Amino acid sequence: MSERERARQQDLMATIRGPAQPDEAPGLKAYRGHIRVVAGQVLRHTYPTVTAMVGEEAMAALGWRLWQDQGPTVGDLNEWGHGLSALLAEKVATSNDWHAWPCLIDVAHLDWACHQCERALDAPPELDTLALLGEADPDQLNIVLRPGVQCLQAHWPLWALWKAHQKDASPDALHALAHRLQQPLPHPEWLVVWRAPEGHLTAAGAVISPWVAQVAPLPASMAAWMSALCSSAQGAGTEHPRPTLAQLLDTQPADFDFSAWLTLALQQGWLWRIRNRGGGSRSA
Amino acid sequence: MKPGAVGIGLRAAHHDAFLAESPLVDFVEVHAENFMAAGGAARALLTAVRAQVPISLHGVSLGLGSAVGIDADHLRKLADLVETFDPLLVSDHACFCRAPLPGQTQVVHSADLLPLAFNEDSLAILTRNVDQVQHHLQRPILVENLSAYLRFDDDTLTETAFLGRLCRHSGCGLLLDVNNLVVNALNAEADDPVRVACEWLDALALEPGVHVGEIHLAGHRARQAHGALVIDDHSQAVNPTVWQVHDHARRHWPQAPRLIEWDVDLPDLDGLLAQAWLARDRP
Repeated sequence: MSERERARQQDLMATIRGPAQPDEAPGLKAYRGHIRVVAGQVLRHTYPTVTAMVGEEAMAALGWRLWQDQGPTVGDLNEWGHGLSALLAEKVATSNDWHAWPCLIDVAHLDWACHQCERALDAPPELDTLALLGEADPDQLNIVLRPGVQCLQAHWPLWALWKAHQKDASPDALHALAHRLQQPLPHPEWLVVWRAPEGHLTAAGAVISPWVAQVAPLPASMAAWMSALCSSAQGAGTEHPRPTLAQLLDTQPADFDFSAWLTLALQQGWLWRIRNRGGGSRSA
Repeated sequence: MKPGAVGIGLRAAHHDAFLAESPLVDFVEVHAENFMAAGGAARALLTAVRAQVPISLHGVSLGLGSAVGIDADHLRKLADLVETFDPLLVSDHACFCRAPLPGQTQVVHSADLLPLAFNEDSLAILTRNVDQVQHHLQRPILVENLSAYLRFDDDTLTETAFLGRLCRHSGCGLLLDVNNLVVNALNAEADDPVRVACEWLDALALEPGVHVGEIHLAGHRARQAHGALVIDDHSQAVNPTVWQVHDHARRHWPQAPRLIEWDVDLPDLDGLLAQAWLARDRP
């Protein structure tokens, strides 16, 4: 296939991602201007909390910088923008303007996790597979969380920050937080991100949207367990099978209460299914 | 689809109103990329819309003219959408979107519709990629003419000859965007953009084997400054000049379904539908 066309396309792609030149063709300015706008739009959509904290103008600048450093490699731009937290970490480390805002890095992680969660496969809990817990050897069972469930460790009061930027937040929630952003937390907090299954209700009886990511703090006693489950899901594959229930339990502290976790996981809709490695989901 | 059917581009701002009002459009067109996630609200929305009305899947990022080829994963996701939602039409653009940066092997995506040179090599690339997509989807696709802000001075084919040969070589159809023709004519400083666009249509009609499977209508903002380009921003009601070109296109391809695109500064759903009814009521 033509090397000339390959080179032409490569040159044009590089030109419109690079800095404007004084005497360049208006068409190049038009393409560059458009992708600058798109970069900002995509990041604002994906990172609503970060945007609320830094403003749209700063987000547009971050978007263009990220685009130039790590532009999208796929056509679905919803998949682009993962690098924002690393870019923010660099800004915090090197720029006086950003130095006072290390919490933004945690916020970016949370926004990205919510974004990913809201695009995850719709998978209702397979409650009939719970019977396997009483039937099969824990050495043969996997605990599988619903797609989109993620755990995050934060060094800043991320839960409070996130809540303060929700629509129903009290007007003085942010003001009340200000003093807590002076120092990192003495002990990191853990959050879980997930989508409620269809038909789930709040304690007050209101329907929870099955499409909007939910965020909640994880009890310290469950953080290591949930983190292990999330990690095992990310690394799982043919070459690296998920750790079994027995293997995961062996890594937990003696006071870990599996039953209490299971009750909460079912209430919240974190659990997808129990899988029997020796056979199907229901039983061997 | 009935001859001359009329549809609207369905955007997020109108999702709720569309589902509530169920307007009597013949079809809606959605951007395929917005529904490629494995799950979530977008896919559920499309399922609900599809239960009401036929859909057209319009892609903006396959990069059919990319010399590096088509992204196999993107094509797989598109095929999944096609299988799930059984669209009336599947389309994308005669452009490139994918290329590595100089000195790198990683392919990056432009997130914009970048123009192709109209020559034999470029045609071979586009044809190869369209073949691959059609083979994978097991159906013909429509390829849209571009509003291009750059032209290459070593073109050896006219755009209409280029598109005509693409149709004959690949068996694809064309998605004719008449707004793009007007924008291109304006940016070429044509004295009479309507005449230039209509002559383009006449030249295309002379190309054997061309099937126009859809016509796009949209508005563009007037030139913002002397010497500035007119940007195809889909931010307005369909311009009077575009309606004139639409009417001319209808003389050549009266059966082709028409679609109103409006992407920026959107009116309410009724305002968008009013444009569709204008299209329906034109001779």
